[in-house]
Amino acid sequence: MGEQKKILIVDDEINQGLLYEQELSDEGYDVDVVNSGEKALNSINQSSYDLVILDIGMPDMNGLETLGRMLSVNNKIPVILNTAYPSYKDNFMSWAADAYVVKSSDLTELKEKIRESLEKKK
Amino acid sequence: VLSDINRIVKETQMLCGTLGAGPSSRDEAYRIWDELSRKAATLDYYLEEVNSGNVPQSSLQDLVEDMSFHLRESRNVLTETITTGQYQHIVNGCEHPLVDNEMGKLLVGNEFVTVPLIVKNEVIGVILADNAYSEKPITEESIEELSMFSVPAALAIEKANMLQVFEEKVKELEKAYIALEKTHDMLIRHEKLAAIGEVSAHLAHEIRNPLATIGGFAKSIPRKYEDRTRTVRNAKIIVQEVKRLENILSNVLDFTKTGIPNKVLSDINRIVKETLSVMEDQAASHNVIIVMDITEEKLEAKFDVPQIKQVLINVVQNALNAMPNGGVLKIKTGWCDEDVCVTVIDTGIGIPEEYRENIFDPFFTTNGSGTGLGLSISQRIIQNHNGKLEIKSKKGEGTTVNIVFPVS
Repeated sequence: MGEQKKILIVDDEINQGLLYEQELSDEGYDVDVVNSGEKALNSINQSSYDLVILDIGMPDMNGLETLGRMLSVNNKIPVILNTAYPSYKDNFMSWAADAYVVKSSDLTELKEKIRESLEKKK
Repeated sequence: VLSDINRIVKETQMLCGTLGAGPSSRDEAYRIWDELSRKAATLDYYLEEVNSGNVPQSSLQDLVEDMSFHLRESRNVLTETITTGQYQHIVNGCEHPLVDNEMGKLLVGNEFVTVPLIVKNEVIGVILADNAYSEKPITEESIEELSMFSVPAALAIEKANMLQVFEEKVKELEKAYIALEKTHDMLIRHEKLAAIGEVSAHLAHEIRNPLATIGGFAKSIPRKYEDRTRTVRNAKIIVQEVKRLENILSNVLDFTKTGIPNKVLSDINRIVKETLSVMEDQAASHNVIIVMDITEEKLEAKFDVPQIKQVLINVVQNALNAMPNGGVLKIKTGWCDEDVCVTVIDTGIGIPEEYRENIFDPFFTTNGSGTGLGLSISQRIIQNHNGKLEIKSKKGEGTTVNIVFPVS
């Protein structure tokens, strides 16, 4: 099928990070987790990722700011916003992402969007 | 009745009969004169009589009240007096061209005089007078007396009119004030609802995260339950997140409770020491040095021990949160006049000016997680102890929290 896709998860909640790491590794992806926007930008610089999953509600640099900075460095990388807040959909910055998923215990939608974004990238 | 004259004349251009005073018949006239000659009564006496209703309404009053003239459309002695502002002395009333039938009803004899009522150079009405039953000719002197009388009469009418206008304005203002109060209440309610809306959005976020974690892991466990390490780890995480939700719930409930303090005589110094020992580990992990400036003797006061502990924990927690990379936390206790004083000083990031007003708002938080209820609950607890919780802070330099409450 091709090499394993590398996904970067950015979420300040440790346990959320662990959940996504577990679930997405099970799906066959190579997963890295960081817990801040700052660390995410560093990771992007150091490794090449096929997809970034970005939480919005983070202290210091929130997800949308991180998104902006990320795109100015590399605008080819697909980003999925994964957040507990549905209201950021109104913020036009969020439209720069490839998808907007509201966090839920059901990861079906997130997994679907991941598949779609990776398909498009090919 | 009298006060209507002015406005009616100005607003409607109608001259309306308002007051008719005088005997209804010759017999009544004689009776009155008889009484006047026998009784040495004063004006006050007669005014009292009128006010207490002992004087029956003259039939002249009925006659006058039915009468009205349009200042533009009619033309008679009364309207002339208004428009010219001059008195009119008429001796041949029956034949006079400016005495119409309507006006004529008022007259008994041929001679009469009309005098304008003038206030501030404005004609506000007219007095018509005659010597109906005495049939004495009207002298220059009596016209002058009538004119002199018209001055205070006009003023009194104007005053009464002003008073009525004033009373109406007051009523209008009262109505406007009530409407304003209602609007004000409505605005406050809307603000509260909006605040609740904001608050529930934040609360929803606070609940959604743990729920997503709990649900996500719970779903994953049956898929690979044979992997013991993983299953145990996931179960532990679920427990952690549930605890978090319980915390949020009890914070919210605490916030809504009135929390009447159960005051017991205790030593504040002991409570502070206990609190610090609970927070010791966390302080160490933040690289924070704790400095205690606590008096040797007991600092005794009556307060609700668990509540005040909660306040101290909250304040110390905030201080630690403000020093993620280390710092100094100083706690000082003592007397401030007659009150107990606890001061917590940190060298952390401080509170920016723009948030200063919000820090006591429920659910307000700048550190991403946590319910943001801590300070509002703490403030309420201290207020219930008749005390004050004050915060001084400078961005980048640190924060000082002062807790003061009376001994009992």
